[in-house]
Amino acid sequence: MVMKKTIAIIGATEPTGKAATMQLASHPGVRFLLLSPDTTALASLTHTLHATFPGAEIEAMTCTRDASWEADIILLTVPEAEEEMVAQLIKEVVTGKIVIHINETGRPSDILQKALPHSIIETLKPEEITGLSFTQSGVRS
Amino acid sequence: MFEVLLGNINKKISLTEKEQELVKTFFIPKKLRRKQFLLQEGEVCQYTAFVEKGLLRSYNVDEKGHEHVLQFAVEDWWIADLYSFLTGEPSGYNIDALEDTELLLINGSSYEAMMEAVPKMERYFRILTQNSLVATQRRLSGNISLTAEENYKQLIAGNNTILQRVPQHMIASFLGIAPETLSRVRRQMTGK
Repeated sequence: MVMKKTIAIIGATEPTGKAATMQLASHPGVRFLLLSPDTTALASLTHTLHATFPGAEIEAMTCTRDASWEADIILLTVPEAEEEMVAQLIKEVVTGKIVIHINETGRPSDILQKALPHSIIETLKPEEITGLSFTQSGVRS
Repeated sequence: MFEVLLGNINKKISLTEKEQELVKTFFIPKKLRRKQFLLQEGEVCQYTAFVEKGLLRSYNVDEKGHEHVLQFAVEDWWIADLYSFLTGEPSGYNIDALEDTELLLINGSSYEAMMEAVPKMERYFRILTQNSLVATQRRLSGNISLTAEENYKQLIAGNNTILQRVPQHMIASFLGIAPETLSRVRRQMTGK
């Protein structure tokens, strides 16, 4: 029996985050915690995901820090201008965890590297999300 | 988040501020909700866990589906399947949260890296290992030679908080007796 990985998706209702969430939600053995300041859009996305992937473990959360604390892997899909703010919010609870940073260019973010020195930061382009698989020891792309 | 761990470490060894900050960087903070698993039978135990807040148990399940509790871990305690952690073999145990729990996890490579970065931690873990060996020996000896009542008394003397937080059938399982036997022992003790 393999234990479920918990993934927090921060920025789940952003266009990139939404696309990533829709692609990843069907992954077996993964539990998703979705975060967004737009609670109406988040409720709607969660509803759609439950309808599309019955049985999938998907939960909307309001506290980014708590969700990141619970998570094994953090998927960061917020706009660049918000990266620093989010990083400061979660830095204490993501030590040793994989933070997957999705952006259009696929270029590593200096801001994130600096703000989260003890996390494992992976930067991916949105189209690279499809190839992700989640193993007991972490994530494989 | 690290108050209980650093308190535990500083009871056994003395770390400077700088060493404490360094030690923190090797641990993964993890929250578990009640009933969630830290480890499930059949997978490799990748972490040893320190309990900052909450309560967990390790147990196995026999062929008849009966659960056998090996250990409870409350605040200030460590828990893992050390055999699986050290050998990389799949675990025969489950570890789950009996309450919402906050943990600090450390994996094998971080464990080694921490010893190298802060050599004083070798002494800390040596003391932990000694304490754990003594506790294991006492538990084994209790199972072999003590009565159910004596084992229960030993448990009460060791950690009263567990008795208040854990269902009686799990306490009975930990002691290796039937729940009915535990009820009888408790009745006899209150009657004395």
